[in-house]
Amino acid sequence: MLVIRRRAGEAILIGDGVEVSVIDISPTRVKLGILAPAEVLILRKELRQAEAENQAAAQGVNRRAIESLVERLRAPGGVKITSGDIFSS
Amino acid sequence: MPTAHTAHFGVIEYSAADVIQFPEGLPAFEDQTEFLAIERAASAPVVFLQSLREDRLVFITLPALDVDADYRLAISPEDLAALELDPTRQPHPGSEVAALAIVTIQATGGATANLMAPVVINQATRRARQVLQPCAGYSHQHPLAGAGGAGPCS
Repeated sequence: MLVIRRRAGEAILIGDGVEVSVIDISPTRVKLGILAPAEVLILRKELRQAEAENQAAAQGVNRRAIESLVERLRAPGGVKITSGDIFSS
Repeated sequence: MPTAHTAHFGVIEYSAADVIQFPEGLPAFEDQTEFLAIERAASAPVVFLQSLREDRLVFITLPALDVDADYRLAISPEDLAALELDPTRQPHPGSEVAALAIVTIQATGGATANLMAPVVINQATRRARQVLQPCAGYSHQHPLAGAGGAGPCS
């Protein structure tokens, strides 16, 4: 990973046509401006992670997988059931 | 009563009040806006989120507190507003909201839970959203104890 320090107002060039500028810096957040060609996807990392996990999660569902998961969760060292029926009214 | 045809649970009856609305769907599934939560004694504590639009789409989830007993929500102000929750504080999972972690089962048999992006359901309104909490220190692939083979003391 390239680690680089920038002040507000400074910028970084990436590849062909991507520019990242530091617009503002506050104690807890940095405001970035990103210039890139339309075909370059810009995405918050956690959104990509959530998308990938959801796709993998949806793929992996089958009866055997569910049964084996439940078995493992109930084995010693597995999940402790604390919340019961989450939708009990 | 309306019925849903599901790939894993057969035909199920439900009432309109049971339907959980995801106005913006979920990441990678933005068009999936209606789900049912299915809980069965035989598979407790798993909560299945069954899509009402796609018979074969179901997510396996666990209450976040069952994965991590100290779990704390860190919902952004925008997400609190979208969920129609009090914007001044974090809700605690329970009667006010349900916080579910979607489980991914790998082909190898290991399983992980997405604690970084829980599905939060406003219990009163049945409105839900998968919220992203990248700064809360939780993993999107939290290993499930007991799943995937050897535990820490074996």
